[in-house]
Amino acid sequence: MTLLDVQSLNVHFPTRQGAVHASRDISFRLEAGEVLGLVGETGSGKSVIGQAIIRLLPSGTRIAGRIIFSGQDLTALSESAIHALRGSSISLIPQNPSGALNPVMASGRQIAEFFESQGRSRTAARVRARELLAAVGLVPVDRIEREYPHQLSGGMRQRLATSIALGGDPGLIIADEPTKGLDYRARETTARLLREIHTTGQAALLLITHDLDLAERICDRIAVLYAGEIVEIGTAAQVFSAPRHPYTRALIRAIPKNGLAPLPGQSPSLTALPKGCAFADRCSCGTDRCGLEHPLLTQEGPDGGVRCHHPFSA
Amino acid sequence: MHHYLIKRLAFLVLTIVAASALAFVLLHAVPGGSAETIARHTLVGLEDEVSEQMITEVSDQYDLVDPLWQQYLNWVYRAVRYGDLGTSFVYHEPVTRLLTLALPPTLILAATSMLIVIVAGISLGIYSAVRENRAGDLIVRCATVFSISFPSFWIALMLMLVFSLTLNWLPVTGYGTPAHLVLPALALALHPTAVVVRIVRTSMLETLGQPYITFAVAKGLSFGQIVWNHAVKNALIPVTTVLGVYFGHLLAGAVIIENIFAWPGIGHLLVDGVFSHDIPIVTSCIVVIVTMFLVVNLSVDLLYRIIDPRISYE
Repeated sequence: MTLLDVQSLNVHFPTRQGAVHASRDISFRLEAGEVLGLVGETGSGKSVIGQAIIRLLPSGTRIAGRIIFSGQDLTALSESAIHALRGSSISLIPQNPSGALNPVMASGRQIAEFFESQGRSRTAARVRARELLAAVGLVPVDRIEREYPHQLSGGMRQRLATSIALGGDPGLIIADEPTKGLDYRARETTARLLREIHTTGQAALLLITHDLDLAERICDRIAVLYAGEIVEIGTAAQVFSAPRHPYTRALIRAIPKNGLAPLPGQSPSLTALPKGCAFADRCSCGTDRCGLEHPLLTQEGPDGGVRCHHPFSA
Repeated sequence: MHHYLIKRLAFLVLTIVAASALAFVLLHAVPGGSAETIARHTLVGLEDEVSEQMITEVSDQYDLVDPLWQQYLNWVYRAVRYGDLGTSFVYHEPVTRLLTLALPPTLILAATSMLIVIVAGISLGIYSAVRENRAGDLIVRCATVFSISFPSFWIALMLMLVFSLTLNWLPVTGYGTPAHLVLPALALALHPTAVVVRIVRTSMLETLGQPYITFAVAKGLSFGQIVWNHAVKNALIPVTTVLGVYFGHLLAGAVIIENIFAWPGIGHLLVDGVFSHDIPIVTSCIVVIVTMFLVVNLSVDLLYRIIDPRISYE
């Protein structure tokens, strides 16, 4: 069953330097219980998609297209209706847990307050909070629930933030760069935790990351973003073993275990996008056509596609 | 913690000693020496000539023949050993008695003003931030600019003109009933309230832009929970320092207001003492004011530990 159906989502931020086209013509589907990875380098517009779904973008942002979640269009919902979905139906594992946790509130309270907002008593909320702490491996619970974020390590903070996202037993979890800024060990625990969420729960996970290694390990499907567009989408196995877009191939080669080959050049400015293919300047197999004609995302199979005039063969 | 406290207390004592020594020396350096003042107040009229003989007589009687440093040390010794701050040259009463009479009015006035500053300053600041750039915010901001722009003595006179002389609602000057307290407390509180409103507003707006507020929204918390549990507590941390400094000012700086409203507090006593060259009074008032200021600031620093768990004085 399709849980989330994003159709031609366009997000742009009006600025004095002109509109920043953060996301362009984004379409994908996410089935219940599935893990979809949105991967790409910094500035590719992947976080904006997550924020558009849970409606956390700043006021003034222009959003076009439809985001159908469990049959209702999120872009058309009232503020109070979307508010009712946040935390309980759609939740967020934040980027930078150190900043996302309130520095002057004890860990236990940061989980418990969600249950209180759902109408539970203070005692019942605390019981649930303690269960969640234990569930994400933050033990001993007695000590952790009283500690403040600055007393926890980076990995523990990420687990705390994750436990908050799990609290409402949501159908969709958006994990926004969950491993960004974490050291190796914290990254490993976070990866394990995300995989556990996936195997034990029924929640669908939208994993937004620049960490391809993480994406390969836990995603069912992958969408590769470049300059605000999906350039390739497919099953994780297909995308990693036989990438079709030159950008995807370059990204995979840039992973340390694949030789750390750098991709020269920079992605284009989102205020002044080229007329043709956004990747043309950096592409090794581009032709004249690439600079003139904007490629469309092909439909290949039920959930595959590539946005390239000269894709590698599957 | 103990180490920190001992260091702070030692610093407090040093500051008091330095302030009292400075006051003592400067006052003795003022032309028209102490013996002359005493002679005018006790032996002849204020406008009459004072003879050499009278000066010698008074100097002997009040221990004014010793060198200045010895006079100061004597004063300190008697103050520490017997709690005796000397005798007023003008009133011929122990300074401690005059201080115990003047201290309660000053404390009542400062505490009332402080209450106005805290309640009005914080609530209007929060209101202004939450309603950013809407009508309510603009009205509050205009009012604060108005209050900051006019000096407190002018505001005091205007309040007096309107509420006492024109409307006849409140007594013009004096001390004794709650009605007497209203105008001086308002006149004293207006300027700091306006400053606190602006600081709270800025701090709140900065806090509302923090990632933990965005995460709180993503958690699905109510607007009230977000503002009260997450924004206000964090926003008030920097405000605490300002409130502490203002409380010190209110205790010490009520000199003008106390004189306008004939409020029998320390400020009034101090100004009287300065005009009549009453050195024991002036020195003692300065010591009391400095002590109150330092104690308030130390208390604020200790209070920080309770408000902000990240601060530790180990």
